[in-house]
Amino acid sequence: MIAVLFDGVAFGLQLSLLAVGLTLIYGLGGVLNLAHGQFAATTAIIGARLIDGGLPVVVSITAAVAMAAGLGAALDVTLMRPVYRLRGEDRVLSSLLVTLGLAFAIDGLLIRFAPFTLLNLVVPGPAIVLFGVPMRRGVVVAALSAAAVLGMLVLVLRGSRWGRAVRSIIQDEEGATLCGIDPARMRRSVFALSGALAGLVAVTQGLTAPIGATSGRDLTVLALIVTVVGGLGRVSGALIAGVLLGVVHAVASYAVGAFVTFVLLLLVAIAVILLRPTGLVRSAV
Amino acid sequence: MLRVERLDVERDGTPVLHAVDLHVADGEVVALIGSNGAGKTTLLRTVCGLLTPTRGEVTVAGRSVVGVPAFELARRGIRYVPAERRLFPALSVRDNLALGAYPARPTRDRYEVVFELFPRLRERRPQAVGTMSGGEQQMVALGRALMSSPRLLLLDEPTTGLAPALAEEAYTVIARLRDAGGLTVLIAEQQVHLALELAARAYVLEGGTVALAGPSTSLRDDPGVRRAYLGFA
Repeated sequence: MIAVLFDGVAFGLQLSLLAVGLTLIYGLGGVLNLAHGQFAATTAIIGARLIDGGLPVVVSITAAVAMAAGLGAALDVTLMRPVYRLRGEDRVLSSLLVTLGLAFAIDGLLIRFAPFTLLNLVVPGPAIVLFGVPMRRGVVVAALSAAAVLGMLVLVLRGSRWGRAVRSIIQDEEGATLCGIDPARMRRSVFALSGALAGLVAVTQGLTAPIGATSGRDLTVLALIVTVVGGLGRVSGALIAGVLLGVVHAVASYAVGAFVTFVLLLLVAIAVILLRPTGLVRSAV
Repeated sequence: MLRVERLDVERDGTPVLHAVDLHVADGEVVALIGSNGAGKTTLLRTVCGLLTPTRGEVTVAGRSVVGVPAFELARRGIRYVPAERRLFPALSVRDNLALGAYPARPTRDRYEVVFELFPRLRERRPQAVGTMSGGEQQMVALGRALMSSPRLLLLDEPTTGLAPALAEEAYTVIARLRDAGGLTVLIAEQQVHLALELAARAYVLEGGTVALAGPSTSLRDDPGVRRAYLGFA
């Protein structure tokens, strides 16, 4: 049972990483990105191809994650442009439509051109024993990397000028503008960050199990559930909800079977939304 | 410092301001008075770049501000403090003030200027602004604008939601700023007696046009102003 819990936390930290990217762009732009998981899948494919091409693993992965950041920024300045002309609910809905189209397009392209490419990052060596539970090295490295990136992200958001500006826009965009902050430019940088975070999840997933062209859809759905449960636009909410749902995911797969885990995750999401409509975390950022 | 010429502004297709002429000299404090809906806020929002005029010209220190994005004007030292304050409620007093200096790093000197004016903010540095009283929030809003050493301060009803004693206190602080020199202020106010006491000159907006303008002393004695805004029958 402890092993299941550890697996859940390890997976949950990656879910947090995935959801933070979504929740930040919602906070800054009032939009959602249904191609978020597809950005991760694209990173996995590009990374795997670069490795196959003979580049060192670290270089390949770095390049693939940088490309994911570029994808994020490109989405912000191209397809999202007409979306930003709308306000409130119209903006969210049209962002859903636009990025759903993008998700289908990326899924189609990846399956057409790289159906069998997998990113599989094996960490050699014996299992690491934690509290008497043997854990695969890949899983431990994935969990620690996710935790490290999340920790850095929180530090940057809390402590840096850039992070302060990001949080100010989430709380009051007009107020931020009156302080001399350019919301469009900040949003572009956060879109790039969001893409990079999706890319990093592809890497940590690749450390756990092979990840390929068809993984985008599941990752998008998971990211969306975690984001909503944590509260849209709430960074701390995404962190908590990710770990919580990761544990639910692991326990459900262990106790009932993988085929119902999504149903259970959605039930938890529905329960949270019914009890706390604004998500687990109430206060802003 | 500020010059507004033949200004027309529409909001959602409805004309709000028509042929407004106004100027504020360097270091001058000028009041903008008028009833609700007269166009005071629209005028201030146009000067700071949040609204774009349909006709006319607005220049600050000789440079046109029409079509320049609001964040850019804020960086040039044109600071608008809206009546609803637009603070960051989950951030601390210190972080709110620090953002006022953006994109520069906030200096100790600027913090000192603000804390000298509002000693209470010094004690409340770590407190989240959302948990503070209306009067304290108004101090943060003014302090945030002052963190950037602004050249033109646009204040929109700084006494909104404040008890009379606190409103007077706010004006005492603004008067201190005026006397310290170097700051140009255009202040919109419904509490006309306070505004006329502070400002050397005033403009009266009615239905989107300038109905009356002149030195505060003569406006205070104007029978129309006394009847409409100062509560004399």
